[in-house]
Amino acid sequence: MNESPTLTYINQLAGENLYFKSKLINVLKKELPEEIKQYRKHLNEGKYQLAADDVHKLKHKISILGLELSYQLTTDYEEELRNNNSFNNGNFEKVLVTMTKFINELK
Amino acid sequence: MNTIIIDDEEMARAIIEQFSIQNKNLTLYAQFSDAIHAIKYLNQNQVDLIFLDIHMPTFSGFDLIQTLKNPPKIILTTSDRNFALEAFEYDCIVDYLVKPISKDRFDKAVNKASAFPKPLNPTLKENSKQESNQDLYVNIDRRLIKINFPSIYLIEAKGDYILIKTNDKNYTVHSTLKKIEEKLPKDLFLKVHRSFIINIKKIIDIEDNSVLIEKDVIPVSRSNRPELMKRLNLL
Repeated sequence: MNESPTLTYINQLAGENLYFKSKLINVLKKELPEEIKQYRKHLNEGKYQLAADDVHKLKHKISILGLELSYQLTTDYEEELRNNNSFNNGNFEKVLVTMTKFINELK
Repeated sequence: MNTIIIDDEEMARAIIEQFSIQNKNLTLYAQFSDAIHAIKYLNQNQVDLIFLDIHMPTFSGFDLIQTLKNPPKIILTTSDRNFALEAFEYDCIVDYLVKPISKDRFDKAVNKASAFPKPLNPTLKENSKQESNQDLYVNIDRRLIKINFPSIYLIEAKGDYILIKTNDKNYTVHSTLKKIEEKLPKDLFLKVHRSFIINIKKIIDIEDNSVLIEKDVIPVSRSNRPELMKRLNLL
């Protein structure tokens, strides 16, 4: 999927408030890996409904990072999981890897 | 207005917290990552407004609203851009915000809450609630289409879809029998087979292990037959 994460939303939100910007980035760096870990655990255990809940939660961070195309893919994937199907697992995994790489590079 | 935030996601809480601090009309009292702790708090404290996440594990925002005897004003928050429907079944819900939330949209919702009358006593809402319970809204091609329960005579599972048959029209909806079964009035509908739910008021006749509904002959599984017979007014 040809799109890159951005901090546009976080920058708009924080304006000149660097403390708030730093707080949001720290929360992102802490919470995103936890959510991804939880999702992968549920998927590996075949707990698709719980994995769908995890994917739903990840949608907010996908939006925050401005990943519009990935958001649509995620919405479809969440629905798939609710129907006990993980066909788009590979594509969703690519989104997770892109986001993880991006936040790991944030200072 | 005194307010609390209920959201299982820290990121969402951090953003709403910041917006609340910046808004002159709000005083943030507390925030919770799950509904259960929030209910305990609400049983002992009075608040004017709740920012409530709909989709939380084990206990959803709607579960919480149903638990509260006198819910305060509520602004729902959701990551679901297609969300709209169920919110309007509750008088206490002022507005809903789609994540990621913008400051302008947040302030607009708070202004709306300030001007919003106090929620009605739940007993006064019963009539309107009962009316809305007569209908089911289904998402077809991004449109929410209303289907009146009594008009449905058959629902059939078709892989990832269900086929809803009514007197006038048939609807193919991306859902499961299990999901729709939870929404249907129990006195009207019965699952007679793993792939079929029928409206028992529309039965024309029953023969051995099948039932005739309108023009459709539907199999009745052995395990579901006793319940079907129990629900009929037999002579």
